[in-house]
Amino acid sequence: MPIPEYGWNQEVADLIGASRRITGLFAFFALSALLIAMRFWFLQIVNQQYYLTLAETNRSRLLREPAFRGEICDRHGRILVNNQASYDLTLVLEDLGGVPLDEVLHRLCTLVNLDIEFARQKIKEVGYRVFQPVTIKRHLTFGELATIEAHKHELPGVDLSLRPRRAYRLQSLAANTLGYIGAITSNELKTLKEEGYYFDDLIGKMGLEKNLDQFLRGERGEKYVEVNAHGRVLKELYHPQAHPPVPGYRVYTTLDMELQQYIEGLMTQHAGVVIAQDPRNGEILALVNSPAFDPNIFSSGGGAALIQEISRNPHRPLRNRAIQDAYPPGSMFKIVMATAGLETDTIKERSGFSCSGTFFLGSHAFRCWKSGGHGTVSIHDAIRISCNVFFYNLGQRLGVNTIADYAQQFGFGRLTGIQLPYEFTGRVPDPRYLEERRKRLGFDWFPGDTVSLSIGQGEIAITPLQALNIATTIAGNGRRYVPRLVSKYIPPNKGEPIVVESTIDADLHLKPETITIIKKAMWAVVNDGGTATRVAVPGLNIAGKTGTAQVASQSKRNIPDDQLPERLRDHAWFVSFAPVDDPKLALIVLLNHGGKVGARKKLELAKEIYTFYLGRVDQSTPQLSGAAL
Amino acid sequence: MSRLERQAVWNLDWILLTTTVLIAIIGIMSIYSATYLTSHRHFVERQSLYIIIGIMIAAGIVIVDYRRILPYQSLLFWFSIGLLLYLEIKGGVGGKVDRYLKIWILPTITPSEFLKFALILRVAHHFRGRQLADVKVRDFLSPIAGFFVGLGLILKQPDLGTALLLVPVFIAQIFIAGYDYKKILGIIILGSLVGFFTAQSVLKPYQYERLVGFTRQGENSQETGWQLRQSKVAIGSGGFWGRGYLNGTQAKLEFLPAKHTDFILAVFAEEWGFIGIFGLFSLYIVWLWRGLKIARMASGASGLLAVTGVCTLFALQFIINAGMIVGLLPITGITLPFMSYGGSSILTNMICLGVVLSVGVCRT
Repeated sequence: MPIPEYGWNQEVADLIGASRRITGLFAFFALSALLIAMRFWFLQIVNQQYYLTLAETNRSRLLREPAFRGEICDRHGRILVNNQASYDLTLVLEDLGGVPLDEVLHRLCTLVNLDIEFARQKIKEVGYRVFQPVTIKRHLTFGELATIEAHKHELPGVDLSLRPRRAYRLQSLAANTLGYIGAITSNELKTLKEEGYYFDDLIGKMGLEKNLDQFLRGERGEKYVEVNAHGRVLKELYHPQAHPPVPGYRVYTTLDMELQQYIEGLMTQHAGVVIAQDPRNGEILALVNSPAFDPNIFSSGGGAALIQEISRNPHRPLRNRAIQDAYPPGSMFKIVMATAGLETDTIKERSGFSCSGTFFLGSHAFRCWKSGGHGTVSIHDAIRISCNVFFYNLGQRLGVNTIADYAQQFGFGRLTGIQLPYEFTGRVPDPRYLEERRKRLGFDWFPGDTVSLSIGQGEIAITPLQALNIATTIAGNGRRYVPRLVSKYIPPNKGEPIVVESTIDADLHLKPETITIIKKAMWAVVNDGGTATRVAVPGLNIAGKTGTAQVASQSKRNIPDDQLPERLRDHAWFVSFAPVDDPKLALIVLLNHGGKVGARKKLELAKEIYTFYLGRVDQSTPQLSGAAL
Repeated sequence: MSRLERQAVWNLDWILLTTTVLIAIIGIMSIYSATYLTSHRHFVERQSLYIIIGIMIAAGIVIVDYRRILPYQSLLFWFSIGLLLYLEIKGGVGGKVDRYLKIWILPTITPSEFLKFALILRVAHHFRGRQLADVKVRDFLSPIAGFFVGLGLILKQPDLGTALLLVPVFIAQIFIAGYDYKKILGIIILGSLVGFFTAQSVLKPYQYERLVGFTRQGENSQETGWQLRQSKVAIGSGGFWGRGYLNGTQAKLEFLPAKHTDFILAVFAEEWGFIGIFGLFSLYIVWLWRGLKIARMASGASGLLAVTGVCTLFALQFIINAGMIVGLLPITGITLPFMSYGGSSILTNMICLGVVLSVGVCRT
């Protein structure tokens, strides 16, 4: 087979210098290769350590495993709050693989209901931790879960992680006491970083969840894992610092779930506060705020609208009004006045003041609630029928400083020490307050102010929990305990339970006669033609005192309740304990805007509470640590 | 044994062939390391098959003699153009660049790979039997026309990397053909200036991003920046001795993009270190040296131009590929000759090898 011959010879090629040009080409390529080889030298030898570290950080990742938050139970170990399995949406910045963050977020927005501002804020807080998953949405619904799974290939860096979700098993039961949790804010983180909090943590925001966070939160676990470029965990790597998460303490509260439920049932129609306490040790058996809210909305997706709605409610369900709001004690304060009068020997059992229906201080007239007057009344009757004039007279003899001193002895004007956040001290016109008031108003405290103070109106305000002190102090013969919500902490891993002991809040060392007189009078209020005879239950021997916290100004005070807008109606109080000779239960009832007359009828719910609790009683021993186990 | 066959065995450049096989084996090993975790032996088996078929084709070319094949270059050229047109009309398989074509049950093919080779042969064939002393522009109007048709179709894909590769190969061939190098220099400078000022308006945003983006290597928000960073981490962590075969983590855990194709050299550098890179570079330099040696001894202008074209193509692909994974050049879809995974790429590479060997066998 002939090979085609071309007109070509070597001489011509040499002549045109093809060879030289080829050498030139080779030199150019060889030099380029040398240049690139130098670059390899620079990367592999000069900077090897740097890139080796990067390769390690690429491949190994410290994963934080959230701990199971401790459960919260009632006094008998019945679960009030625990955890459920739930899926959270997380994002690892490093795994975006070059796709812009905004694009991924927008894709997510089209798939699920995402709070993009929250997500952006959280991602901003990530900072240098680009390998760490950041939670951008919690508690996906099953629908959302399925949607994300189906579109996962379009969502680089996005992952689903199985995490515990806080579950309030009985919805709104004791909501203000138990509280709720939420994502830690950057401000909280600033102050709590030292205590090991982390930017992706959940933290207690209200109630026991907030105050007991250190006990409940447990300890986060850490493990080192090998991941691939898509963030998928391939295997766990050994690391000396790796450790599993430790669950939080289980907290036994002092709450009695049945009593709490029962009272909440009674209060559904009313706005107000009821607190039930064991006067023998300070344990809070029930703490009811009405209306309440369901803390689960804070841990469910799409709760924002509900939270908005709740915060617009004029009764402000999110506040724990039992400790955060203070009101004038009204006639309940007469118990404090009587104690002060008897203890300072200003009055005796037999001394009496004459009530003509009006008390004159100079030319100014102060009225008793009964315009015709009560005639001459003793201390017993003054409490029983709640005579104002008696206490106007007593107040003038005692003076504002003595009254304030006894108010403080009853625990007013300072924190009760209950383990709940945002407690308010209330207000007592003690010397320091008077000084501050003089500076603020530019004039002195007048004797007329003392007159109002004598019946618990004017410049005194106490929280419902402080009001309960009136009952517990008298019931305990002058000795009262710090109100307490926790009975014990059970550590994880079968540790020794930490039992919380009762501590004495104050002992007034009252004279036995004082206690006898006041107890008798308070018994008569309920059982002997007093102001609260509706509450009487034969055999239970309830002792109590009613009160009215004035809301409207003096000019409107004579308008009947049904003609007054609800927000201007008076608050109705009832403080009580029973049985009078061996008190087992102390109770404070506050009906917000209950009105002057209607309230008396509504206070009958106290009777039902006593019947329910004392009728069932004697299963509750003063030291409950044994009973609860 | 006929005279031709004896001559072929005697004249065959065994060093070139051995070098090629060594590079291909290194490629297969690296592909295995990069993919065995996710795809087991799939890619390795396919690549081995392509290499064996490719070597058989190369042997066929040596036996048949390249001078009998050259006249059919226009068939290959128009075939490639046809494929590119078909790709343009029908649309390709995935990616921002319409580079891959899937027809019937055939494996995915890359028409631009064939076109590169066809254009080299077209220029070589055009100058067959010619004296190259004083080449004028009108002497090679026909290959210039073919060149621009192909260039246009590849730019349309838009495969900027391959298009930019075609230009220097073409220029190198004209340079070797004896065209005045001062004029060539002038054209290069003029072209670069035009390109520099029109790039932003002519190029698609992502292409412009790639061209300028590689200078902003610190940022990981952009796709290419991220790829480059992972590639540098892979190379740098290899150090002098490498992390050991199958011990690299960057490729295995899929941090490296296109690990078995465009970034195969990074996989190799991670596991074999600088010492491995030195060895591999030496193999490529040897290949180039042997290739250009054959060019010098070519028995005709067509052989000379075919071999210099192939050598320039491989050298540039090597330089651009290596340059891009270390961050010296922008990231483009240029494969590493004989190493990167890919049927079209390996087959074209082997056909080129066949032509070079054949020119060597038929030397004067």
